[in-house]
Amino acid sequence: MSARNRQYLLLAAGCLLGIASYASAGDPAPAPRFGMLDPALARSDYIENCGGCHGVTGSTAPAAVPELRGRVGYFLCTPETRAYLLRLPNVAHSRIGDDQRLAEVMNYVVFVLGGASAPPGRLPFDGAEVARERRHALSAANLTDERARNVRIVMRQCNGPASLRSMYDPLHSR
Amino acid sequence: MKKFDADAVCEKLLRKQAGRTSRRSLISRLGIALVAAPVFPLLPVSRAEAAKPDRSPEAKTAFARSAQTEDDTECTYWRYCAIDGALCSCCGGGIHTCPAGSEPSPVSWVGTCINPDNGKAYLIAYRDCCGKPMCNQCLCDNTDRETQLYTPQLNNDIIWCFGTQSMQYHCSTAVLVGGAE
Repeated sequence: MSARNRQYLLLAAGCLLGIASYASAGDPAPAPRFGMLDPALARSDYIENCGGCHGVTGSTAPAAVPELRGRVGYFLCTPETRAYLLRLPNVAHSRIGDDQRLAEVMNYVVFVLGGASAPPGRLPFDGAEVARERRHALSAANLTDERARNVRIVMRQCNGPASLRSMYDPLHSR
Repeated sequence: MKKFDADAVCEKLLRKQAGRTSRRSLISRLGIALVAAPVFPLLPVSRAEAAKPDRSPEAKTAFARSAQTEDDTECTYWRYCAIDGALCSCCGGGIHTCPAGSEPSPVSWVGTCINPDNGKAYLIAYRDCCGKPMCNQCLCDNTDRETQLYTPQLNNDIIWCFGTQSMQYHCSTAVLVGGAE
């Protein structure tokens, strides 16, 4: 192919690319909100894997299940309490094997169900963090004690309400 | 007068290009494209997409292949893909209502069932009705997504009467929660 011919080909390709960029200019990729590239999948995964016990909207009070709605975000308080969420056995051993997909489910839990309870400025979970923490699943720990210990940290360092000690808030539930 | 007519410039270029290239070279280029195309799914970009659940017809369970949408008093009704117990629709209740005198449990077992009419997957909450002796009508045991009893949170043999006045199991409903992704 001659150099001149190649030049023409490049220009022709440029023309086609110009058309392509016009077509895609209208819809820029949406910025991930709360660390979720696919919020609909995150919600669907939450309901399918967690929502039976924790409730579709994060509460099944008066069942003895930790209430997530308006509360779970407090656990983003310190690196330790944050890791606690990812090390919970049903999170760490979730049948969602993909770390990024599980990170998005957890971001749905802490930022959407947790609502205003997430302390300001906390970063969302990502796949690398999930991959790291799920290897340390709390399989042999006493979960009641672990929860109480993390609640104490949250109360001391992030003004977590004393009602976190109970599974659900008797004043606000139902 | 127009300063820059992109259409005319492109047309001119492409016509010149067409005059210089042979049909054989086009065929060879097309050949390369055909061989190269199947390689793209191996790139990480398409593998990231594969994290989505597989809802293709090939991934359907045996239940989904023979499910029906007419009769909700039969175990083969599409929403019952993971139900275990007596159907409330045979016990004086409905597909999402408890029979009189029993109380719905706040917790449930969640399944994902495919509606054969549109092929879409839906999230179904199997909510047990509690507080009355067991209704022995229409006993079903469908097992989509279920695992062995040693992972009880993924097993539907458990009676999900938690947070109710009584843990006595009466029957199960199948509440449509919404579409599954």
